[in-house]
Amino acid sequence: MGCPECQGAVATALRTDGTRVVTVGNPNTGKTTLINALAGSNLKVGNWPGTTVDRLEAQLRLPGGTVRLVDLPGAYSLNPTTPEEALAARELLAHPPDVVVNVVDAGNLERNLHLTLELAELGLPMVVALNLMDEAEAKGYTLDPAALERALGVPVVPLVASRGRGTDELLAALERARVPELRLRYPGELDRAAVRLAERIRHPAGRWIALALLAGEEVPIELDGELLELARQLRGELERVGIDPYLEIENARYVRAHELAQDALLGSEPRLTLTDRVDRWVLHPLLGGPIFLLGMLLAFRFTFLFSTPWVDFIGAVQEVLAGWIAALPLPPLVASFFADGLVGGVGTVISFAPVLFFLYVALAFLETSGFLARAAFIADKMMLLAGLPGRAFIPLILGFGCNVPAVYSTRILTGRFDRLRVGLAIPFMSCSARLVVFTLFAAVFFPRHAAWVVFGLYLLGMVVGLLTAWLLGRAAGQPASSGLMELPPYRLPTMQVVLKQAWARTRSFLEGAGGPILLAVLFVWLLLNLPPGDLEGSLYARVAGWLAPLFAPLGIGDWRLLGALIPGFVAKEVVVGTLAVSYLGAEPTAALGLAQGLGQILATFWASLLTTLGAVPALFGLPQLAPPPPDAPTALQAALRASVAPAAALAYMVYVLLYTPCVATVTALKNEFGRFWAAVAVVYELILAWVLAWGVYRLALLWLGG
Amino acid sequence: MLRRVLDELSRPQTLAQVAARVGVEPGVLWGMLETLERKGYVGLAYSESPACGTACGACTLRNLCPASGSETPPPTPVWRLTPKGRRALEQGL
Repeated sequence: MGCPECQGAVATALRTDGTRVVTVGNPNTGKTTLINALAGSNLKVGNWPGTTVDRLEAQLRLPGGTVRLVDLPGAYSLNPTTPEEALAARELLAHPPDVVVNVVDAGNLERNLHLTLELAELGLPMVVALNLMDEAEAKGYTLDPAALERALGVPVVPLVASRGRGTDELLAALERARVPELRLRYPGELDRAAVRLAERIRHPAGRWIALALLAGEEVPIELDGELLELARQLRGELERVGIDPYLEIENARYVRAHELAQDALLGSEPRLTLTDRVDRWVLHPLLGGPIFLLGMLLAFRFTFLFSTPWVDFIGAVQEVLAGWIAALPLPPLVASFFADGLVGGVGTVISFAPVLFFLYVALAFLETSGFLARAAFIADKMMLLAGLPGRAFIPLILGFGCNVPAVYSTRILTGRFDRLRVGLAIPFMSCSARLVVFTLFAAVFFPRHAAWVVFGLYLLGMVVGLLTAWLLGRAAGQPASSGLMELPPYRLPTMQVVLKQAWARTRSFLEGAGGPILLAVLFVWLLLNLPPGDLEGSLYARVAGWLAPLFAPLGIGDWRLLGALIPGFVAKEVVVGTLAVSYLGAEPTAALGLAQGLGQILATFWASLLTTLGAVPALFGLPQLAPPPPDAPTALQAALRASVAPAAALAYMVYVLLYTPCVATVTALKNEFGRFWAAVAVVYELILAWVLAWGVYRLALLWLGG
Repeated sequence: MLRRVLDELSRPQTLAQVAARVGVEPGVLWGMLETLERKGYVGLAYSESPACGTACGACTLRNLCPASGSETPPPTPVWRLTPKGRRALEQGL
């Protein structure tokens, strides 16, 4: 049994057979290793926190008798938050040991001392085992155990338990175990309340229990109701005079732990890790934003350089399939259904799978390397500029993947108005479906600057979304809030993890192409063939033609471009499928033989492979180092180029970026904010898209000409 | 010291940046944040998120969201000041 009354006296318990010595410390400080080193036992040891999740025991034979060494699970505090901490606290309070050996990680001294100070208030004889001294030295710390010993008033023994260094000294120090003399400084009222309460507690650790009760903690031993009532009263009195007992007690422990650690630290030369060095630039107040944008630009550049050859390859396969269908003895309408509707429409959507795959590879790399977490941090700052709560960046960033879950994720915001304005900003974040449209147009009209154009569109979406949220927020006048982020260290992701993630996400896109996209494209094919054989006079062409006057100021008059915007409401990928059906349906398809078609596929495959290899040096080079665009554009690319000028094509992309959210997103908006706001979102975005597309068109005319 | 940490939460910073400003090791700051979280003075943004769930299939960034059941490591923790923490800060602790 411990001896709280004999404070300052030498403990003599070790001279008695059956003495209990308990090791207590933060997780992963080497407690079990220490016991094994002392007793020669073979308890389980691991290099991770939480190796000991139960109470383990070993016997130690000393000249004076046998000592029972008890290894408790790691704990950061005796006020438990985990079952392991609860076990450690219960063991110490319900069965106070004769000696406590507080195992401290010398390399994380300050954090470990927080528990040391709690143990000091238990009033039990104690020894501090300053373990892992070698790791502390490796971190650049020079410690003075004697200074710590003077401050705590208990023996402090430096150790490297894994090598048996210092274990004999520790055994000797057990004989000198003492109740710590150190006393923490609390505000006067709090200290007096603790003294008053402790007087009523018949337990060696009365002071610690009194403080725990005043802090509103549960104590893992039986206490009478009268005592608990008194604690409640005293706590109430303290709170009434503006003292928060929990914060004051914890604050006093952290302040004292800091002072003790500073006193014990003779010198420190903390070595910067690679992550520290990289973060100095990536998180720099001025450079952080541009570096983040550069990273995203590189991701797009990588995507386009590596995916374009394979989009062309799938396009060539499509043309061969259409040629083979044309060679079959089928009625013209049936052949058109397969060649233009199925292969042309759905096939065109699928042909963009390489774009998404390479984008997902880039994102998976950025995500697992730790860069995306930094991007989120930079975005957090942007939220503040927009007057939004910091956590708004989560739904907005999710919007780049898919707007639907992003709208639902606005629930993490506490204010309804904040949720609404972030919800209305989300559809401006360019989801991956829109990338398919941008890729097609950028490759046709801006082949050498495709990455820049798409990057610019993403930026435009972000700016418009944040401006929308900011303008709405001007009326609310709510204070913005932010937070503190733990960033993971940088690490080089394995190719396997990156490819696995990228493939899983691409597969989900491909599965989508078999559902609503297939139905929408086939519906468009049907409208294009009513009546059969005359695309220009079809129902689809007439409906699309109604939009022509509205889009004339944007330089877009082709009914096929306008018509594709309507099914784009279902899903943005459908825009390219619809364009393919309406453009390719008008082109006669030349019949192809089997061998001829296979020859074309092989030739294109080889060319795509060579272009991909050539893209590697171009990734970090200037645009002119990029591989030249393919000489022979696909039929769809050629038809598009002939139907609209580059300035109007840019306006078209801006319109697709900003106009109405897809059906699923509108449904999500309706579910979260009601019909009214869903309708507002649609109307607002339709108008804003037209206005900005017009502005971009006028500017582009100056730059690119008609 | 804990007041200083609460105060630092009013602007976006990383754990390492705040640790440097408070003058403690990141591990110590982590402990302080856990201490503050225990009684609700700060909260983890992600742990409060009931969002996402089933709609995440097509989302390229779903790994940022814990509700997506992603296989990647836990999402980046973001500590936020709660109304209780804000009150404590305003009352001068």
